[in-house]
Amino acid sequence: MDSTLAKKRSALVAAYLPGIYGAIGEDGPGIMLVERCDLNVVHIAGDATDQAFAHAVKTETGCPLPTEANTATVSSECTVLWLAPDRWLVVSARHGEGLLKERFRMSLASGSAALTDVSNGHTVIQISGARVRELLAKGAPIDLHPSVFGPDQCAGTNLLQISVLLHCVETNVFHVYVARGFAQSLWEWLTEGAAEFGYRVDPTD
Amino acid sequence: MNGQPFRTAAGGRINRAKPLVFTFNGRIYQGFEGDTLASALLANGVHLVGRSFKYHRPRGILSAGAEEPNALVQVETGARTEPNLRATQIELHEGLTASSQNCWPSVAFDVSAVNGWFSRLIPAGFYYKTFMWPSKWWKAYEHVIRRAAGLGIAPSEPDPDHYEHRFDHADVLVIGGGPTGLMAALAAGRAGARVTVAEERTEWGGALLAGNETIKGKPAADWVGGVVAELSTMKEVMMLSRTTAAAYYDHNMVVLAERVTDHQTSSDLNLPRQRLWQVRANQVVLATGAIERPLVFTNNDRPGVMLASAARAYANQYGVRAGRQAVVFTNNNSAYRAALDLSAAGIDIETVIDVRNEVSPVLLDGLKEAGIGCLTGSVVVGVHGTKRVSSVDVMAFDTTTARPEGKPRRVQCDLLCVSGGWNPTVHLFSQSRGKIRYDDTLAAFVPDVSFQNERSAGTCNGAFQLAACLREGAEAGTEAAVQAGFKCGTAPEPPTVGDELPTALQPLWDVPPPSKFRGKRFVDLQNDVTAPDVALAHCEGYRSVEHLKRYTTLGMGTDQGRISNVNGLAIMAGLRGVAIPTVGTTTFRPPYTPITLGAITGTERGQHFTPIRRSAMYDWHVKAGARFVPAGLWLRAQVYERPGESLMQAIGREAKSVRETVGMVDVSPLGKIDIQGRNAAEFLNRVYINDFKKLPIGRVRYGVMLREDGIVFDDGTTTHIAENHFMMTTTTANAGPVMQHLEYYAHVVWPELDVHLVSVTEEWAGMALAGPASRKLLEAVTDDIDVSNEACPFMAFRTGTIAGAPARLFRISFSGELAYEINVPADYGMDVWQWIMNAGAPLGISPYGTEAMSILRIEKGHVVSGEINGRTTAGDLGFGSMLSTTKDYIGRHSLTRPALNDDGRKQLVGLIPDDGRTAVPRGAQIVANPKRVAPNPMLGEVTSSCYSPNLRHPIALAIVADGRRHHGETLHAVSPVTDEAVKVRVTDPVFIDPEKERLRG
Repeated sequence: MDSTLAKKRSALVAAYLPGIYGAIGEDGPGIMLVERCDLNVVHIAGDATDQAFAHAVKTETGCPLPTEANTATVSSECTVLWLAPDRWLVVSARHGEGLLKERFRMSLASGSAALTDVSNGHTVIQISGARVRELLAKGAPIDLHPSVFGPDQCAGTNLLQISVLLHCVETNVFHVYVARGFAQSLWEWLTEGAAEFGYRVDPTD
Repeated sequence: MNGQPFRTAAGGRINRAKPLVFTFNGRIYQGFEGDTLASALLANGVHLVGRSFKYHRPRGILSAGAEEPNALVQVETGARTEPNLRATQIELHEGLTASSQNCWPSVAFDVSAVNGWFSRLIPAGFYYKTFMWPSKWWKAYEHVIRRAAGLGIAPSEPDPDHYEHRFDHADVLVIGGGPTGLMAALAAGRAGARVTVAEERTEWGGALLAGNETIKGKPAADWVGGVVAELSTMKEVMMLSRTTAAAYYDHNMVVLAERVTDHQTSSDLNLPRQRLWQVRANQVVLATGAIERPLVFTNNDRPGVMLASAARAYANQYGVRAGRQAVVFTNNNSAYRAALDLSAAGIDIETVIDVRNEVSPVLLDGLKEAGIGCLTGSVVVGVHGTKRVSSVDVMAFDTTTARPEGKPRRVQCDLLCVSGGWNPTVHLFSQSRGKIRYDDTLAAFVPDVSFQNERSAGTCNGAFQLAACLREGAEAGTEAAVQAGFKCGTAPEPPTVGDELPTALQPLWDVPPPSKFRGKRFVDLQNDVTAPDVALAHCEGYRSVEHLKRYTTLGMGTDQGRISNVNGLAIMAGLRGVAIPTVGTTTFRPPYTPITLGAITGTERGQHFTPIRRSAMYDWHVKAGARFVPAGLWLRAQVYERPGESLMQAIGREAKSVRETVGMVDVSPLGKIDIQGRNAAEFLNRVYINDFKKLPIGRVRYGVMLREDGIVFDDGTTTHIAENHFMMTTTTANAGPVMQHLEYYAHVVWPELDVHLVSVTEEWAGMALAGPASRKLLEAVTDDIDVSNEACPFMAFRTGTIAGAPARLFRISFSGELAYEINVPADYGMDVWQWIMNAGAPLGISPYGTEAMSILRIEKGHVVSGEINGRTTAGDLGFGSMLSTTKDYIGRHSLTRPALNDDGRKQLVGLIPDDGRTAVPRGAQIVANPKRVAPNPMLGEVTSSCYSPNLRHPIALAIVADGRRHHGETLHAVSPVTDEAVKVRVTDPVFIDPEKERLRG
């Protein structure tokens, strides 16, 4: 059988059209959107107080295990996002599917940790630009002021009625993690809301 | 068009270089940028703008703000039309179209004005008395009453504009952009706090815009400009004009309604028309100002009767003379400023009429200097003129009898400015659960005890002097910032202001008419409630303010008693012979002024009414012409109709193809839970009624779980994927509840178990391949999984590659056929589905939707939510033999409850119509004798029903008392709702392949 038959398809394939839209001001688009198809997302669960577990995470990701609620740690190749007590998402630019997971499995084999690949189940939308917080504040009830929600902070919240995980990557750069099934609805809502700021959709690769 | 005859030669804050053309009641007028509809109409000499609610009396413009009770208009036409807007708040824009409401055929000649002649027959509460009998006629009466009393007309077309919500988190929210609010914002902003300032009007400055006060020796507007400029440079300060604070809820959550494009002629489609803000503020400063009270005297509703402050605002802010000859009628000092300003604007002030005998000489000197006369100890007893004031009757007032005395004196005028004192705008304070108190000196309610983190400052706090407003604003802003955690030392020094009049007032609630004097004395102009209506309510026992409100409608409508409430309850207090605070006030409710439904809805309409959850194959289903059905938020393919096919034919064809060849259905929405950990098997063993500890790796098992009360909760399959690793499936509807249930037990009840749960519903695209040809098809799409019956028997689990994608293969069956469920990472779902469809074409594969899936499972007697309905036990559903006797599991202890073991419990059975033809009505009741007179004992109910294309007759599932003992008997399925009764034979619930040969083949 031809192993190249099935290809991966983004959940946004029907709605994703790179280009420039809305009320573009003199400073250019206020919002930039791009789907981060390159990111692998692995859910890890384990005991935060278990030194061996924290050490394994550090070794495999380069990131200290974030134990403070709603914080993220970043290394050159990985980001670890705090989800809930004893739960995290490990996000990395794709370097071979499942590789991260396998490496993890090896080093965590003896512990009580669990790894689950959830890359397909999450769509990651990167939103950046000067107006990014205003756009998100149309749907997210949490406080997004930079003094409260700055780089390396993350929070589970909702946009419209859709549950999302927001991660502030840089001051004006956010990653929105959304369940794949809701990605298109969220995308349509985001782009409609971004029209007043002018927005640009970048190609994914 | 004429030249705006009532416009002053100069002055005001309108832009005379920018004339705007607008239409009112079909006539074209001209106004200026900066006008409201009300000011532009007045500039054109138009006072008659509407008809009253009940008596259809001619009404004019009373106020210059949100409190307007009379000048309600309908703006625009077609889909954008909006009723009941206050002309005093509508910003004029080029091409604005507005019309009067509640009048026919025109505002000048309204036939319903005859109501006024019969007004003695229709006093307050008349409809409660008159239309009580015969009671069944109410439906007829209602139409007539609604038509007679209605206000504007709601649009009948969909709203073409869009709206949105915005969340905001402020350290300090300042409500009101007048002198107090600006000062508070400045203080808090300089302290570094995140400040949001909301101002209802277009321009900042509040009452300063309408006056001619000086600050720091310069016109107040200069100071306003300076402060606004400074605030605008502050990064953490957000200024929202055209924004009404509509509601104050718990936890300092304040709702603001911002009108974004209402003032524009053609709206920018990128912008929402309106924005609803939900502000969670650490601290709130209320600087909402005050509203002037009218006075109650005969015919006080005639066009040309206007609040003194409003006439002053029209003169100063808009450069409009509200009349040629004016009389000012007051009980307090503030109207003297209005008299002087109107005079300066070129209006002849005939006289000031003051109920007080003693008036400060400062005031009288001021009038004398302007050449204005003053009659102290006098009142206006009545107004002449119908569509416009033509003259007023003035009499002396005896304060001991509280009645006018002597002979009336007639004074010609076309404008009567009234002032009965000021009511601090305590609505939001009261909404926040703050307690108000009655202040005798001000004769008004003022804030007393705060409940939330807010403080009132300035006029809304009873401080009616500008210097006091600025001081209180500075202090409130500073205090709020400090309370929010900012260090800012002392409050900024408030600027100096010019000389101010002292505040003094003598309460005057009602001017009873001299004998033989005819006419109405309105308390509530919007609802046509008169002083005698209040007396009638009192007389009939409706003495509490809440009863008074319901009985007379005092304080209802868009106006919500802003103008009328205090006068009304003061009159009631007088009638009851008690103090005003004893009578109290009605509850202040949100919204402060009406908000459009569009703003409340925000973006959650049309396609965003609820988000849509799509499977990875959604687009394929769309292209294949599927009809969709919501399942929770999922949109699932229901059936794929082919051209020329009826819906039932298409469903039947799909169901047959599965039994005869092969079909494929998208089962991605099934809940999927990844379960890992050293105690995962033990955990499952406690959750399910059947054993899971001995489930080998590579095997799937059907499981049933109970609620704590022993009732069946959910069912599904669980697969042993690898060591300490399982995957559970749940029903689509219960995916969320089951996850919650499991998380609760894992974290709270059995924290000692090493088990980790993650939802992977979205990670895997699921497709069920079913039918006798499914194995053959599967062989064609995988070359690394041996799918032979020996290598992959019923209930086996295998992994490998399908259509080039990493896949999990489960040999399970919902249809009862030889079947497989394939899971692939969702990103591959579309391509794998497409590949299998292509490969299956020679075998005659058919995609099938949820309807065919449902038929197939009914044919097999498989239960879903109709049967697992929160009332059935495992025994009822035929799972009794699965109940383990060797282990404990959730719900087990409840199974010993007598009620769950009663004889006569309803049990799952199959039903076949006795005639082999008639469909069994869904939801029908099962009875022994359909002809028996009610109450007819109900033996059970139909839970699922369909036509079986494979058996060629209708079938149904039902739960029937002692059903298993009644197999072969005849009962009746009766549906009183659809008036159907079908004779049915009770059978085993498994209609097809009870030996499970197809399944295992």
